[in-house]
Amino acid sequence: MSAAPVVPVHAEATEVADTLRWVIPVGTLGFVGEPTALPAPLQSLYDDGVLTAPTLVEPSAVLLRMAAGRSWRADGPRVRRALQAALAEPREWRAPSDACTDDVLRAAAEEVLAGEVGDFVRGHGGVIEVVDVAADEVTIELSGACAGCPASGITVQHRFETALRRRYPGLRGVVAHERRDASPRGPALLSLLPTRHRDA
Amino acid sequence: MTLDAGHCAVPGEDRVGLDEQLPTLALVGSPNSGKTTLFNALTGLRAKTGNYPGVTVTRYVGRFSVDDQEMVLEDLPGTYSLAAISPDEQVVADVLDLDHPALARPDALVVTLDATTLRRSLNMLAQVLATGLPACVVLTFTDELTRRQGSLDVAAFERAVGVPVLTVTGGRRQELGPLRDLLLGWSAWPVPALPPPTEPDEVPGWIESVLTTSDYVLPKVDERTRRIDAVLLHPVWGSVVFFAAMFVFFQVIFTLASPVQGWLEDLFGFLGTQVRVHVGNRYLASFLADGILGGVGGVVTFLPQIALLFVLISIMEASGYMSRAAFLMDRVMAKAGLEGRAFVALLSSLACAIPGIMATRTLPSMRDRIATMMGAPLMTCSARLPVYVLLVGLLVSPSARIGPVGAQGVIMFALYVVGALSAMASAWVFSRLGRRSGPLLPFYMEMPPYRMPSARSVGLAVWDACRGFLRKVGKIILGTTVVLWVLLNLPTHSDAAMSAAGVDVHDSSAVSSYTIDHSVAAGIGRAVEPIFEPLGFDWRINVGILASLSARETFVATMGQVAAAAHPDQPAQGLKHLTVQSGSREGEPLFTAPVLAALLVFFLYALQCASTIGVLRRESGSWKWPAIAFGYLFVVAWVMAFLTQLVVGMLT
Repeated sequence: MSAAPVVPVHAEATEVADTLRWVIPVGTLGFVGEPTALPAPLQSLYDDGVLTAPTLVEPSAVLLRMAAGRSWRADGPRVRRALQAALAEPREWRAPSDACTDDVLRAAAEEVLAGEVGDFVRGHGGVIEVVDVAADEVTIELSGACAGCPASGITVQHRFETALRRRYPGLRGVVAHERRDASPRGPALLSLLPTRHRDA
Repeated sequence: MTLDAGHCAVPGEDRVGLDEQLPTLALVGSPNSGKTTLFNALTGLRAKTGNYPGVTVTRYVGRFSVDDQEMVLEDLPGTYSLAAISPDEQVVADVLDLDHPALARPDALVVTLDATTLRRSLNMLAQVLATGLPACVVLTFTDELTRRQGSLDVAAFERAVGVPVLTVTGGRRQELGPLRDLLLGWSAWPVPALPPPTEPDEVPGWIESVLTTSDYVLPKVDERTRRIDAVLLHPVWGSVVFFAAMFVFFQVIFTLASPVQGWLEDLFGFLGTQVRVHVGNRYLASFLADGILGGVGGVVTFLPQIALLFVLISIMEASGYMSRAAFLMDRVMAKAGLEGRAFVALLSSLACAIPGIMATRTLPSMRDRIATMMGAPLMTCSARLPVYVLLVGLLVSPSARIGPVGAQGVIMFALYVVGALSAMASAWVFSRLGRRSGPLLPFYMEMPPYRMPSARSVGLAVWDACRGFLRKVGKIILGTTVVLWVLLNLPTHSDAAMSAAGVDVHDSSAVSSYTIDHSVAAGIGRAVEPIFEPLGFDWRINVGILASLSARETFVATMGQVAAAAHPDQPAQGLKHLTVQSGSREGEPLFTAPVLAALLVFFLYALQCASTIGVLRRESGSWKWPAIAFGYLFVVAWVMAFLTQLVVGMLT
């Protein structure tokens, strides 16, 4: 094995044909948003007109866009090597000036709710929204069928928190509120489980 | 490792043409990934087989239709990688190669991945996707993944690999519907904008990333498999179980198959009598009754044994025991200076030497390849089975017992063991003769978890083997038998000439005996008598041995013809009552214990198979090695048969 182990990445398609979502290991970069500076190997591809803006960092992915007239099939292998070299030196990536680590947690939580966990909740007529992110702790609000649902505790703990922790290992806890003015369908039931989850 | 007698008799069969008009899909996957199960489930066994140009890797092509749209499905050989090492892998690489001149490329690929060994399988998926052909993935064995507490987020996996992914377990019907619909829309499958990397240093990172994203939890070692393996792979208990299993194997072949064989014999005997009664022309009646029914029919009666052999072999293979047997024997092979891969080749030769010789292509060193090729024809192939059964049946009666077990099965087992030991000894000698120093490459063999063999796959293997056997009977053996019948019945003699020689022309049995004794074949048999005399063989056995150079089973057909001529009423019993016609043993039974033992040993060693010689020629690149193999095996066969004859003669 050489000095720097290769950073495991793979590319996934996005809705935009010229943009690929490069899935990277969680916690590699430590920020989200559009970076203001890139390491030399990746920056040179922008200078050569292979890649073009916008470049977007997500909690576990980097979105790269191919410049017009270029193709992923032809230039992709070059981009992959440059990205891996760039990920090997995460300090050279410059986060947006207003960035803070809570943005990463917020983005991760939004991703979870947009994905499979959100689908599950919506499929049951429930609604979960992120209301606050502070100091590695997420506060969510349950409404719709979730409000007053005795299983909501399980959903929050087993599905939401597990999925979120995978994207943000530094998570301290999830605080779940039920929206007070919500009018649950059917009789209101008391939750058997506490809806507040916090690591000891 | 594939044990398939279907390959045995059909080298050089014409190639299957792909229909240019229909969309063609090809199945790609590693061995044991459920590829063939899927193929059979989709095409409903309407497969055509043939060979790829230039190589004897069998090609399977079938058709299926979805919503009246007919499509062609090709089952490519199982492969772990497109970086070709073996001929099987070369075929897959060639088929997927855009620039390959001889082969039409499929329109789209269906990749089967075993969900329990996903990390290894993804390497091949990366190579397949790099071809740029439309592809979809079928995940198999997901039930086993769950049972062994592994898991996979299939939706995330599908996003990560960028092509459609479906799970199909064991070709279940309710899962085939969605697959058929998916295959119908192959032209609309998404092709990843950027295929996965194929550089050796980049692939592990891609695999790691894909598996992490899809939350792949590696299945635990199958507890059942682990417990069974603790015994079966044990150096001592494993070997004990292996030999006990083999022993039972041959007992079963005799005890279960012989009643069925008896019925077939009765059937052919009855048909022979009917032919004699109803066919007026004497020559036609003799041709049909002695040549076809007595000769070819005599070989066909061994179908039950062949079928049973393949039932047992395919159960051993499908249950996962065959790999363990090879692993156990790897230690023995290492002592002989050969690697485990050589044992795989020898093991394949149990079905037929031809796939065994072709399996030597996995050996990297030419020396080891030649050494293994020289040993492979000694393994007891299925073609020897009829000869052994016939001769062992004459040697000891079915009721004879050695302790609690049947003596016939014990002798059969001994023949297999001696064959295997001789094969290894021969491989060892040839590898010593010109060993070049070089590191032994690591021997890699998959230990699949124990699985319950499905009746369908066992049935298919047996069907394939029986079809291959009957096809061989229909071509080589029938051809040789017809030639023999002509040689045994020419020249013709007038009634007057026979009367002059003191033959009662009204006794048909005496007439046919006289005809055969004065036939061209008898002349040939007598001409080679000096060679075989010391072994106790007379001209009739010599003719059988000469005929068996085309295929070993022909010996049975020849003896059947001779016996049918001498004892038309009971050809099955006829052989027992044949007597020596001249010389010091005149009047004594021909098939005495020393002669039978010598014959068995001769068949154990001699290279009597035209197809094997042909394959040796092709695989070694010249006539030198087949000539050496034929020569040395003939000398060994003669010497060993002579010694056996002496020893058994002294004992009895």
